[in-house]
Parts: sequence; structure tokens; C-alpha cells
Amino acid sequence: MLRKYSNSRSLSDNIKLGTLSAFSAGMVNIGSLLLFFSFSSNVTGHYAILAAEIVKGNLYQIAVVFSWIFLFFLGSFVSNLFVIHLNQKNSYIAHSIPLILEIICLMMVGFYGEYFYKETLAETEILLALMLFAMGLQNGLTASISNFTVKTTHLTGTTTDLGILFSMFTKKEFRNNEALKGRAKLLLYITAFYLIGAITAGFTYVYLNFKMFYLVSLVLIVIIIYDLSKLKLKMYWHQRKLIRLNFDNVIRMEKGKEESVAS
Amino acid sequence: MKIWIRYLSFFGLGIFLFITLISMAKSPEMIIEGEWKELAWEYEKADIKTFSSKASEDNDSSYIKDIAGQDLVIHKAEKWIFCPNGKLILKGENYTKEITWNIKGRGNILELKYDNNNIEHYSLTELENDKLILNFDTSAHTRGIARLTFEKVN
Repeated sequence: MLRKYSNSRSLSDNIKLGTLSAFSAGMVNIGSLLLFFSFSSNVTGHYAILAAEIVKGNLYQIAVVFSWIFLFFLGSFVSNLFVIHLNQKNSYIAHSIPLILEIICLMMVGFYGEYFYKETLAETEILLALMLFAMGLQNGLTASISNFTVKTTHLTGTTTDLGILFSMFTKKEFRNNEALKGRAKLLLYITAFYLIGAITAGFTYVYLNFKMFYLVSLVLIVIIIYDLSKLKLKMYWHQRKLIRLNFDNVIRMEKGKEESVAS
Repeated sequence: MKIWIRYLSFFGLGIFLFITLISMAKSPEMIIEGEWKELAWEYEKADIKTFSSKASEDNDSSYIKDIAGQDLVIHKAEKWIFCPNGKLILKGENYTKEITWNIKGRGNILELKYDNNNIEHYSLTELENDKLILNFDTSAHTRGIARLTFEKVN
């Protein structure tokens, strides 16, 4: 999910990354709506609110919404900064850092919410700001490493693309196009898992409350560990192969020695 | 200009803009503190025919209050005193109740918590130094969004 970059990624890589990250984004977005009465991932809505608050002249709300949009932007900026600067050295680490930062942000929200939250407006806004930064990190990462194919924190673009693809499938030539079919499959998975995440948050937030963010972090940890385990497995097979090769070479050398002594 | 200076300027401008705006504005939590007197209860999507048949124009407000607010504790209140410690004192004729208040979202949601763990949410449609408008969704038989208007007393 995280090891490969841009065009070297397969549809399966993108589907795995898309489903898990969309699930977590759906949970975070609905979690923030239920706990703080504001969305934390669909920035389009925040732009509309910003415009409305500018018209009303509410300086406080303008500042808050502006900072939320800015933090989402900053999250995406930071994410891609790691990807493009560290990709040459170690793509797995470069792609994991934004997710680790996201986990830290969400854990902070969960931990603070569970033990210290006194429901003041300032706390609400700061926790929402952290979540928007986390969502920016996630969307920036998935979009960057998948060559802008996977975007999981909001569904406006996804729904638009699905509408276009479904209309294209009315023609046989597009229906038989494997790339288009794969794209539709990916978008459907993202939509479905975003919705499943949102519904899960809706049903569980009464019981989990702020612990919900630990669950989201767990999903993100799965993304990181999945690739790490694959890497370890790959290294294990590689080492075994090397050992076997060395062993074969030693046997061959021994045989060679025996033959030379005999001759 | 070096690229890092451009980036620093861009982010610096964003931070400067935020600090300027937030220092010029007053937090909704501070504006709402004080004593507010109910002026009117109205419907934003009123069924005019229902009202004209049941109530005259003069007492529309009290009629709406009776119908829309019958399940709400705030129904009996005419004065709302928002204390800085998160306590809200609802005062009516021969009636006083103390509950907890919070503001959430971006400063646009008023949350009221009662002793029995009941929670009510209201949209802070307008919050100025001397005027407060709250909106809430009503039940089906009094369809529409109800609006409460207050003026600041103290």
C-alpha cells in the first residue's frame, strides 16, 4: 500500500489504501460532527461557510474557518514534502511519516478529549484544527503517492468521477476498457468504505466517545504494518535465497576441491 | 527572491492574517455572557393558515412558544442569564432553573445540558452585543424551524 509510488502502483495497491483510509476519514468526519458540531474533512463546505461568514462580517468565525482551511492545506503540503524529499532514499519511510503524524494528531484528540476536554469553544476549535491537519496529511499522502488517483477525505470529486464513468459505460468501447473499469471499482470501494466508516462512527460514538480516535489510529497502523510485514517477508525470502545460493556455492567449491584432489 | 523566503512569506502572511482577525474579534463565549430577555418566538417556515386560524397576529409569538416549546425546559423561561462558569440561569414567573451551557462548532452551536443528562442544541444564528437569535428544529406537528429572539438586559 505504501511502498510503491505513482505509476508503479497496481489497482490492488490503490484499492487497499483507498478503502482503509476512506474508512478512517469517514469515521473522523462524522466523529467530529457528532462531538464538535463541525466537519473535519470536507473542506468544500468550509469554503462556503467562510464566504458566508465574510458576508456577515463575523471576524471570529472568519478567523476560525480560515485557520481550519489553512491547516488542511498545511497537512497536504507537509505530506507531499516528505514524499518528494525522502522518496529517493526510502519510499516506505517517506510514505509512512505522514501517516505517523496523522496517528499522533488523532491520538492527541482522543487522549485530550477523554481526559481533559472541558467543552470550551477554544478547545473545540483546536481539536478540530488538529483533525483538519490530520485529514490534510492523509489526503495529501494518498493523492500524492497514487498520482492523484486516491483521494479519501471527501467524496465530491469521487461522486463526480463516478457519474462520468457510469455515463461512459453506456458505450461498449468504454465498458470493455480495463483501466476505466478499474477506476470505477476503486471509486466505488472508496465511496462504500467512507460511508461504512461514517456509519460505524455514528453507531459507536455513544459508547466509544473520544476512544473512537484510537480505533481510527488502529486502522492507520494496519496500513503501516501491512507494508512493513510484506517488507520483512520479502527480506526473509531474499535472505533465505542468499543463504541457499551461498550454500550451493560452498557445496560446488567443495566438490571442485574433491575432484581436483582425486585427479 | 529565494524560494524559501517566498514560502516563509506565504505562511507568515497566513499566520499574520489569522492573528489579526482573532485579535480584532470577540469570542462568542464572551459576547453571550450576561442577561438576555426573550423578545419573540417565531417560525421561519410558518404555516400561516394554521396560525391565522388559531391565533391573532398579536399573540402569534406566545402561541408559537406554547406549541413549539412545550417539550423544552426553556419554554418557561423569559430571562436567560449566561454566567462565565458555564452555568445558565433560566428565570420565568415563579420559576428558576440552573443548567449548563457550552458553545461548540465554530461558535455557532449552543449546547444546553440538564441535570437529567438531557441535551438540547440551538443554532446561534445571530450573536451581537445586544441581540441574540437562536434557532431550533421543531417536531412534525408544528413543522418548521423556530426562532427565538433576545435582547441584552445587562
